[in-house]
Order: sequence, then C-alpha cells, then structure tokens
Amino acid sequence: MNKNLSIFTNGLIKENPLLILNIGLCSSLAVTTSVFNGIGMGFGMMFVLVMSELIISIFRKLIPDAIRLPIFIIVIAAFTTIIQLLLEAYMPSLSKALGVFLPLIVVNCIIMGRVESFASKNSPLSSVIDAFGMGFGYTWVLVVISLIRELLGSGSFFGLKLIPEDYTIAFFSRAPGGFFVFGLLIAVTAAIKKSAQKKEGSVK
Amino acid sequence: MKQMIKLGLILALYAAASCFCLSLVNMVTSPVIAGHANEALKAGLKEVFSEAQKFSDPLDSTLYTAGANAKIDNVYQALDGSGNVIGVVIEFDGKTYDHARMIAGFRNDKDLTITGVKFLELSDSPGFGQRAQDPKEILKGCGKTFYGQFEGKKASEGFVLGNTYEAISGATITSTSVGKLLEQAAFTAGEVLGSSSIKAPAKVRSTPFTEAEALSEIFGENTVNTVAAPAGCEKAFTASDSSGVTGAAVIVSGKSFNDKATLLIAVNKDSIIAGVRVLYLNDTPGLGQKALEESFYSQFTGKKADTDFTKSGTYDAIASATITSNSLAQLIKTGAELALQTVSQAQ
Amino acid sequence: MKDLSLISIFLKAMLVDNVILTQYLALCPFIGMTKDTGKATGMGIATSFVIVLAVAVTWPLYNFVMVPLNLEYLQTLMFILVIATLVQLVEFYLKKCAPALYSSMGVYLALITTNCAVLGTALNSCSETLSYIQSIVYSCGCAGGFLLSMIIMSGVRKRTQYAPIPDFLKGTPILFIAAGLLSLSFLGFNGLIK
Repeated sequence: MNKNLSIFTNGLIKENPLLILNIGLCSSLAVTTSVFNGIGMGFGMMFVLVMSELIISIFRKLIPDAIRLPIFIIVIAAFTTIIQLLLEAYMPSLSKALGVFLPLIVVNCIIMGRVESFASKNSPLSSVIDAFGMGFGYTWVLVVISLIRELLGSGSFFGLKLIPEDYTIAFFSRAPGGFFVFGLLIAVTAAIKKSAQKKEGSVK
Repeated sequence: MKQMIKLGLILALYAAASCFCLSLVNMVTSPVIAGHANEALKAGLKEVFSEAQKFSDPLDSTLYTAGANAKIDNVYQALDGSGNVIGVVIEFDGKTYDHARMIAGFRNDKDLTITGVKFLELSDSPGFGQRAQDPKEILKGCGKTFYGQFEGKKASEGFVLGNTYEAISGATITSTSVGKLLEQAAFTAGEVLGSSSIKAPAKVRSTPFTEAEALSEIFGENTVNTVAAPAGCEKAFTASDSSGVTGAAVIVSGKSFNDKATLLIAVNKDSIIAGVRVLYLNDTPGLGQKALEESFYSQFTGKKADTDFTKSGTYDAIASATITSNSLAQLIKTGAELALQTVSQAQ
Repeated sequence: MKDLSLISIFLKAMLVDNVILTQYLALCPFIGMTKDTGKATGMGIATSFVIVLAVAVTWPLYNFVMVPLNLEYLQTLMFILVIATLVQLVEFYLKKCAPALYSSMGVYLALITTNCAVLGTALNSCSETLSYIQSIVYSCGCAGGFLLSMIIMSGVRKRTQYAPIPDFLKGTPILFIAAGLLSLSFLGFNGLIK
C-alpha cells in the first residue's frame, strides 16, 4: 500500500511532469487561458494516460520489443480519438475551446514517456496509480496557471466575473503571458525545492 | 524475413483492434455531433424569423438566379406548424468595406416584409463598419441597432441609404454596401416566393467610369453639350432638357497618393451636387482605390455644392486612406465650384 | 486563410502564427535542444523537413481517402502513424547518407515523431481547408518559423549563460521568461496579415 501511495505522490510533486521533468509543455500553455479549459484538458489527458497505461501494461508481455513504439502510438492515438469524439458529442464547448490541442494529446511527451518507462515494465495496478498520479500532477499545475491567467487576463474565475474589464491585463491571456507565468511557477517550485533540501540538509 | 512478417502482422492486429474500437465509439457519437450542428443552425435561423416553427433544408440553388452583388449561400423556407411556407431566410455574403456574411428573413407577403437581419461574419474596420453588428450601437434616428432597424421594413420599398434605412455615422461605405447585399437577398427572396415586387439589382461596379458613362449615369435623358472649360478644369459640360439648363459638370485632375486622380463632378441648377464619378485613380488597392466604389462616391450626391469638403465632418473618408481621401475632397471642392460657375454662366 | 495569396500564407505561418512563440507547439525541443546553436539548427532543419513532408503526405491521405470514405474520425491515428513512418524513413536515410549528423542528433531524431508542431501543422492545414499548394506553402512557413525561433532562442541562451541572473530564475525559468519576451516581440507581427 505504501509503495502505491508513493507512486501516486511521485507524479503529484516529486517528479511532477510539468514543473520538474519539463515534459508535456505544449498543451499546458495554450489551453490555460481559463480554469474551465485547464481542468478539461487535464482530465482529457488523464483519461488517455490512464487508459493507455492500463492497456499497455496488460498487454506488456505481448508487445514485441522491436515494434513497441508504433504499438504505443496506435494505442495512445486510439484513446485520444475516443476522448475527442466523446467530448465533441457531449461537451462541444470544451471540445471547441481545446481546439487542435485535443488531438495533440497523442504527442504529449508525458504519455509516451510514462508508457515507455513505467507501464511497459510494471503491473496494471501500479501503472494505473502512476497514471492517476501523473495526471493529477499535470492537472493541478494547469489549474494554477489558468487560475492566474484567467484572473489577471480576463478578470474572471471559472466564468464568474470578479475584476471589471477595464482592469484586466490582456497580456496574460495571450502567448507571452503564458510563458511568463509558467517560467515564474517553475522558479517558485525550484526555490521551494531548494529551501526544502536545505532544511533536510541542516536537520541531517 | 519471417520475423519481420510476424512483427508486421502483430502491428496490423493492434491497428485493426484499435480501429474497430474507434468505429464503435464513432457510431455512437457521430449522430450526437451532427445533432449539435443542426441545433446551432436552427437557432440562428429562428433569430431572424421567430414566427417560424420549422425550417426546410437548404433549397436547390437552381431555383434562384445567382446574385450580382452578393453570393447566395443558402435559402431556407420558413414553415409554420402546419408546414405552410410563411417566408424564407436567405444566407448570403458579399463585399462590404471588407466582407460580410449575413442572414435575413423575409415574410411571404406582398411587400416581402423583413422579419430580421443578422450578421454571421463581418470583417470591417473596428470602430467604423464593425459597429454595424454591435448590439450596443443604437442609431440616433430610429433608436435601434443597425441590423435591428430592418425588422418590419418592407423590402419592396428598396434600400436607399438615408431614405429607407439609416447609416452608421462615419461608416458610409459599410452602410451602403450592406444595403446592396440586402437588396440582392430581397430579390432572391422574391424569386423563391414567386413575388415580383423586387426588381433585380444592377451590378455594383468598382472600376473607373468613362466620360460618357459618367455623364449618362448622372444626367440620364438630358442632352449634354461640351462647353468652354473654365480655368482649372480639363473639360466642362452642360446638361439641358426642354426647360433649359438643368446642370453642369466639369472634369478636374489633381495629385492623389500615388499618381494623379481625375474626377467628374456634376451639379444641378439648384447648387446641389448631382454626382461625382472617378474617371482615373491609381492609388493603393484596398485603401485609396476604394474611392472607385459606389458606396464612396455616391455619398456626395445631394450635398450642397458650396460645401468645403476639405473640412472634416463634411463627408466620410476612407479609413486608413487619408491622403487619397483628402486629395479627392480637395478636387471635389474645386470641381464643384467650377461646375457652379459653368451652370451660372450657361443660364 | 484560404483566400490569401501564397506569400501571405507563408508569412502568416512563419511570423504571425509562429508555431512556437504564438501557437505554443514544439516547446520540448525548444527548451531541450537550444543549448547549442549548431544542434538547434540541425534539429530545426530536420524537423522542418519532416513538417513539410508530413503535410505533403497527409493532405492527400485526408482529402482523397479519408473524407470520401467518411473516416475523418481516424485522422489522429492515421496522421501520427504516417508521421512515425516518415521519421523512421528519415532516420534510415540519414544513417546511410549523413552518419555524422545522425550520431550527433541521437535520440532526438526519433523524438521528432512526438513533436507537436509536426502533427499540429498537418492537422491545421486540413482544418483550414487549404488547397494542396497552399498546404505545402503553409507547412514551409511553419517550418521556417520553427527554425527561426530555434535559432533565435539558442542565441538568446548563449547570452544568458554569462548574464547575472538571480538564483531562483537560473535554468529553465529564465528560458521561459526569455521565450515570453520573444513571444511579445512576435506579437508585433499581428497586423502584418489580416
């Protein structure tokens, strides 16, 4: 049980895909203009990640090594398309807001990376827990970024207008704002990590 | 070799399994997705024709003639609860200052009363033509939005700027061209509903006029005679009918943005401008060259000939084409003065 | 976009809608491979080649095979498989004809498959319903924009190596801030093409 818990929290903080490993960045900046989109993208990606890790872990003994990459791609692409179709049918506003980044989940480095390094070598249960950990780790960072960008850029939170339009800073809703917020977030994380290490070092 | 074939087969197996699952999901979701698109369209149509209960599928385009000034994209019949055709909704697009796509509903009555007009797309200048689709822009004269003012108007009365409908101040070109597009849509509506109250609109041109074309368009049936040109213009004409001199026109040239500009300015004997036509202009396409369009030069018709057009506010300039607009305004002012001179000399 | 002239499409794809700085695609190689201008250029050229090739192959696949057979829902799957195959072929070719370049690129060559810009450009050119020639020009513009951004970023990175940067911003954060400033400057191209 402890092992599974550590696998889960690994994805949340210690090996957070966006802040620590710096992978899967593409979709994280483009869709984080509003919290609704951020959560939507996070859960969409998590669905593909969980299902892909599950299937590949189940079949891991039946995947020949030489063609494992194409097979991974097929499985990931299939689930990406499934979530695409489901969202287009049942949540069209989210599907439209995510735009081209929904099919781009298939080239999300996180999924490919985890499937290759974890799911192909571990049991289905561990893989699913790892997927949830990574997925939530990805999602919470997206939510933080989109919170900042939506609040400062459009003055709203989850659609509720909080700051009048005259005081919003459009910079944050456009491309440069995304880079800035993300860079600062990584800096903050690094600073926290460093001070945590220092504390550990001084306690020891 | 055998290994490669075995690998290839396994790969194909995985691919086939994935495609199979996908097609299952697709079968479930595609009707839902198609339903969404349909709903959005119906909602849009209902906005311009609220009385209709249902709308038909787009009509076959062979049932109406192609538009000269606007492209007719789709025609939908508006039906009531029992399936009777109570009107049509026309989806059309065409040139405004830049481009616009609109839908308009026409009731199936003698005058083809308009039930509603809506912009689907409008790419004109923000702050000028864009106000045509702004729900917050209320026109001073009628107290409605630009697109809202058409509701209840009779299409058979035509679309004459300043007369049957109100313009957006500072956006004459957009306002005039929208009228031309609606005119085309009304004609198609008349064709489809079998009404003959709308006549086919003439094609709007955006090329320079020849001297003869300009004179005949402005003076119509009147006899035109060339007279001695006063200093400052190249040619001068008078127009007369059985009662005497009705007006005069001069051709003036001057420097515009790139090259020279040649205009024909005509006034009538009441010192009102009868018309301005561009005979030669070679400025920037999309900017200064817009002066060739009827929506620009037609705004001078009816203005007082002694107006100082070099003062701002006397006419709507072309956005982002200040130099061309100023040069033409100067020419029109000079030309109007000379034309007035010619008229008074002839009488 | 399909009403624009070819040169406008090219410039729009390269500058106004820059793949990295405006559309946020291909950030992984942008951060990972711009340490060295030589490597950045090499990666940029290889990716550019794959982008154009990918669009050249996927456009006819989509428009002549998938749309008539109502198989649009297989678009993601088919496209990524085509791209993976193309990258394999490019790898093959490089191994044979330019082994030095092949060994210097190492694992990053295979990573072009997961490069968002390649799939993104292919998907965009289909969704914008461009003609074949327009798609090729569009993909050349995207490729050019990608290469441009990579080279600029590697130059910027070289400068930041010796610049006095506060401790907590060292490394990836300052890269993102720099990318943000670059992106801001590219916003200036916004009015270039409608």
